[in-house]
Amino acid sequence: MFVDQLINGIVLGSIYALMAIGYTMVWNVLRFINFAHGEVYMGGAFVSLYLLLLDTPIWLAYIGGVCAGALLGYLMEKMVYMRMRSAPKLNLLIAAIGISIVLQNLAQYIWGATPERLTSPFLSKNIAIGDMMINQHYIFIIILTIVVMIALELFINRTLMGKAVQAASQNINATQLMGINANKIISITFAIGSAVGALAGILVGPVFLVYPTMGVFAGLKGFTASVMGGMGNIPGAMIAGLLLGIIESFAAGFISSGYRDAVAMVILLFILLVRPQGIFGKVIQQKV
Amino acid sequence: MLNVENVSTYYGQICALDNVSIKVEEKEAVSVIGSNGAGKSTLLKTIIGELRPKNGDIQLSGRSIINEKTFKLVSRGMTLVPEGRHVFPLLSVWDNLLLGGYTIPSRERHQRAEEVTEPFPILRERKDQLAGLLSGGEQQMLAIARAMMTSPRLLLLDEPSMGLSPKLVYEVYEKISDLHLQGTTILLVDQNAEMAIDFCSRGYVLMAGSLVGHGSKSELKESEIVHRSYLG
Repeated sequence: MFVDQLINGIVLGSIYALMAIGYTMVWNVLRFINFAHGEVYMGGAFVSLYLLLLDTPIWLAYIGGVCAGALLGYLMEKMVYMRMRSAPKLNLLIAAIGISIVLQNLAQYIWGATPERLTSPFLSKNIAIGDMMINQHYIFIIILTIVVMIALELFINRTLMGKAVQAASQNINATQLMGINANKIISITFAIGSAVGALAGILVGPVFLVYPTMGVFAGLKGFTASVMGGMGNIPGAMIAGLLLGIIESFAAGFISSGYRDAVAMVILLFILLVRPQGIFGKVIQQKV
Repeated sequence: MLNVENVSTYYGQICALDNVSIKVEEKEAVSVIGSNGAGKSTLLKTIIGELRPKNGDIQLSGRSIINEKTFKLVSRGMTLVPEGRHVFPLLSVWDNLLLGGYTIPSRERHQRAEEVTEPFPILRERKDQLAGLLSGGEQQMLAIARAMMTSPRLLLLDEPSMGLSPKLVYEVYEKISDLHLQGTTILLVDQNAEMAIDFCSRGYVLMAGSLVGHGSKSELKESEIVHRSYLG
């Protein structure tokens, strides 16, 4: 029971972690919450589903969904957020909520409201570990999440482009003085964060199905994880996402599945009361 | 090299620069002095493309740069060390320098960082330290070294002495003089009129957004308006 819940929690947490990355990356460069991120998660899953209906090979359909998610995030930024760069943050927030509703309705118009299951090459297979049988798709989710996290860590900390993303998060005007096109950095950040969000949607599709409002709760949980981890802290978002998934899973297993969200939110409130900057957020004293 | 012609810049309805014209020739060191709110930083921000002037023209090596974006001007050989340094506090000293060389070929970046830190041994000692933990003077040196990563032909410096102790101000100015002697053209604005005039070969005086005087170093030193307003 304990190990079962732990594995379920890690799987769920992997999805939250992937979602949290998108929120935290966008926060880093623009200091706003992209509440339409849940719809990128939904959009990626729907595009994969559609490509599979067109008999596209499964891996190509998955990659197509991720690319569509990246494109959706890129277009959101270019068509709406970039034009509102100097507007009050509240306007951006409302715009994000507006985009979210429009995309949900658009998905419903195109694909309908009936939940559909995304195909996975692993869903019908199990792996035996000791006495336990674990679904191969769960292992696939965990492995892919680890790969994405390592790739992101390498990109952010080992490449100059990644350091430019960090620099933009610390002082976007000063990045221009380095000869860096800040708009390009923001677009890249949106595209990467959205690609990771779309991947989360695609990974979830075979388990929790694909439907127009699937991104609402996943988005809320990803946002929660990004706040728990310390807004703007990418490793923090990853770890907090995993923690949130595990807490929810244990709450569902040992208390009641009806209270899983409430338990997770109580823990979030506690963390924010004790550490307002989040578990991994840092308050750096700067010399002046 | 740099020709600012009749430039006026506004913040909304407020005129921050009124019909200002200045010239900087190749290899020159030119200062702009003025009190707080005179429009010195606005002038540099307008030149570097952070602010768009309402009228007038700015030419770099004979070509108008009035509509150029800041990041493109860096590739064209001009950069700014901003007021308050603006180092990236959560990146290491070395990463700050490498980002300064974002536009140069990657194989040259580390070599160039070694070169620009030669006059600043403290930056080499602290290369792995977070830039935000450096002292004010060290941050200023990092900001200057970082700006030199692209070997700019024209270096704009905004208040390099701000917030520094007199000893550090002297040290920073010494480094800027060295850069000038090595061939970098410099346009500097500073509230510290004495240091700024001593450093330059020519200078301008800004007051409430308008130019109220200009002249050579000796002319500025003897100018009544400079004496009365800035040198006491």
